[in-house]
Amino acid sequence: MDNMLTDLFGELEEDDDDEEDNNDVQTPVEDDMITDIMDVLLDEIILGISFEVHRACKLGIFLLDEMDEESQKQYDMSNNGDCHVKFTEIKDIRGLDVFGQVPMKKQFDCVCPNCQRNLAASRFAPHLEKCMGMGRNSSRIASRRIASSGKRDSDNESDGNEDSDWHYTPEKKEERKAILLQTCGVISEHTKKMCTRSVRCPQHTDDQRRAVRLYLLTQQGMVVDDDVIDIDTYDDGDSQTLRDTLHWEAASNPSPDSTSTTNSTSSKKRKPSKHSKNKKKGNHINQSHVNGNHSGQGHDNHDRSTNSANTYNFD
Amino acid sequence: MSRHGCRHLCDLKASKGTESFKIIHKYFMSCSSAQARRRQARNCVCHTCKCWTPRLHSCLSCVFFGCFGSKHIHEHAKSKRHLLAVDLTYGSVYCFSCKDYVYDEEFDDIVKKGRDVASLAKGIQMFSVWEPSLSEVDLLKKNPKRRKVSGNSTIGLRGLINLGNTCFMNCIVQALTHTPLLRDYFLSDKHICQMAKDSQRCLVCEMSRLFQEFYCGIRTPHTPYRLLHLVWTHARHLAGYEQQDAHEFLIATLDVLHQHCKGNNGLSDKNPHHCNCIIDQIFTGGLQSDVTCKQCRFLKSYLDGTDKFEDPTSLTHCLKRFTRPEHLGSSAKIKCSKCHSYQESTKQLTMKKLPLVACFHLKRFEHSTGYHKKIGTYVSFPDELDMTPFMSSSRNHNNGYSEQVIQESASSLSSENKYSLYAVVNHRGTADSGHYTCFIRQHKDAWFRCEDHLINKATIEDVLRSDGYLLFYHKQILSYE
Repeated sequence: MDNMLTDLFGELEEDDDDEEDNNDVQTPVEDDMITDIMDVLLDEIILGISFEVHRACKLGIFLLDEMDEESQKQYDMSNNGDCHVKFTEIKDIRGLDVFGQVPMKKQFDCVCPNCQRNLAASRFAPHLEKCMGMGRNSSRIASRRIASSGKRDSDNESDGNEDSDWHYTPEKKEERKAILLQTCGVISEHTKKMCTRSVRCPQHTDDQRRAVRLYLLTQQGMVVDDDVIDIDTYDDGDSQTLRDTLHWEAASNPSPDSTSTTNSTSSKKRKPSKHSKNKKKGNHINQSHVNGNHSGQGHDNHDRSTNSANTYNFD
Repeated sequence: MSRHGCRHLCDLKASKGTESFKIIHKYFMSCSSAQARRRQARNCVCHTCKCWTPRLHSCLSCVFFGCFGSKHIHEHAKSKRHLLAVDLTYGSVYCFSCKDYVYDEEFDDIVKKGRDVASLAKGIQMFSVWEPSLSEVDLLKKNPKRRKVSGNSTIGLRGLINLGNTCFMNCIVQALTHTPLLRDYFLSDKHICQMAKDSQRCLVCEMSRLFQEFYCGIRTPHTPYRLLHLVWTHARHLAGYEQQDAHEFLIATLDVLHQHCKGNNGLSDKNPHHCNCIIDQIFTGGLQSDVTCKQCRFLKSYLDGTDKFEDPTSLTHCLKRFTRPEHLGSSAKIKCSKCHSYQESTKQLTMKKLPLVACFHLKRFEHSTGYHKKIGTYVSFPDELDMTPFMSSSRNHNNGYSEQVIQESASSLSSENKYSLYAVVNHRGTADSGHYTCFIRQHKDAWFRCEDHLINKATIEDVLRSDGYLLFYHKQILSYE
């Protein structure tokens, strides 16, 4: 305290000297008065601080908010070594972020809160749009969801396979067919993923498309990984073009039969009992759709749309 | 450690009450008028040595002033057996029996009240330091673990994964998580969920978790997919994987947060339309709209107002234009209640109540039938903003808010309506597609640029040079309600 005071007064005296140099009008009496007033003011301020500290000590709150020894030790350690991630100092190095890390391109995964499906974080927003039945195809998907929700709640409660609806695993030949009806499907050598663009996608040739169809539909037991096919971003607007350009055996002559085959396959996954009830018309979703809107066997166009919608499996 | 002083002080309070202390405090420690100060200066002398000395004390039992340094007050206490004296500068009470200053709750209250009254009269805002109550002291002692955050710590900084064109959301999340009042609210665990059965669907709970994620010290980016899901669930008009507007997202998010907060504190009694949930407390202000008849009293001043339509160049300019009287035109004559005739009139918007956080939305996207255009005009904005000229209370001065008024208020001592910039959201690209980034202030003078998962150090110059889209300002001084 004494040291501090002399320091303070030392400084003050210097200040006073400066003023004197500048003004040259102060008499020694005035100078003394200024010093006296300064002294009084300073004394008062110091007294205030003393009272504050005394009060804090008496009330037991002095230094109560200080960091404890344990935390201080952790803090020191984390700054000297790399044992603790909790305290890091800001880095400002070119090419690195504030944490001193190289900006990563690491993939993060997340689980969709809507369908519990595991997917890459970077694809979450487009997935969620479809999954929640919104966006461009919202009304159709939403109406399908409403149509199906009642039944699902009532009779699928205990069904452990419920989730399988949401994991599209096109193991069945018919399902692959359905996908290939809608998308380009050429498997990239680089990513080993199927192209999800439309069948007129300019990146691949018709020859490539034909080759992949031949490959996928003739080889048995070829399992396409769930994550590989990006059904979320795919657009179904071009299915008609596919039929026209590729002369696909099944697609060139879309008949109610071919549709129901596809549908019944997917319904097998859902529920056997249901399946037996709706042998011909496919799964319950399509049933309600058909019954509700057309009261009977669908029109050609209608079948196509339900079929294509089915490939999403967002019901 | 009692807050009731010592035994002797209690005895004094029991026999004489606190009146004498109140009077001494009022006349010697919290006097505000010039006259009162003169009286104080005249009377502040030691009754023994007849002169002013530092640490003058007054006896609490009789009228006697004595200096502490020369022990005149000690002599008095001994001879008269008046055990208690009060320091005339700070109001601390000394007990000659305990030989120490003692602190008493009741006396503390008197000091505090007196100081508030005095500061009000002097027009200076005085701030008292927060002090823990007895039970809080107890809690603090039982839980001694503290973690102090040093100025150069990365705490609070965290990147956010882009979920597929969700940079608009990431920017808003960064701005919200660096709003000091929101941070304090959530980190002190103030939220009580109103959706008891369904807390997984509560957006405020999700915000609470988000703050934990931001301030836990983890360095890897956070994936805000649950937030996106909740916002889309509750604000279905937003949902859709198309590029979205950050401002729209902010408004919708605040709206949902407000909905989920409801009932938390109930509606305030004063104004049934005004909710006092944390969102409203922070983000709600009020505008005042005045329609004035041109004929009877506003004619002159209206004509004084500048009527130029130039491109705005600065935020202050924008605010000036926003709060400028607007001529309602000859086709919209209103019957004046004063001169009882249909007259042309002017309408003026001013700030009636300032929010704690002011978010300015610069119109950067122009949507007309057939075209969408991005407005790239550079609009400068200050680091520190004084809203005084745009307040309703300043309306009486004039209508055009001349430069003079603005300068006057800027140079005035009052910082009541001053704001500090703490976050800026930027957009680059066109009206149809582009990318959002933002600048956030971690603490004073520490700025960072956030672009999804990447966070880098920035300077205030970088921030002020950027093309702002959303500007977030925080009130500098918060008064207790």
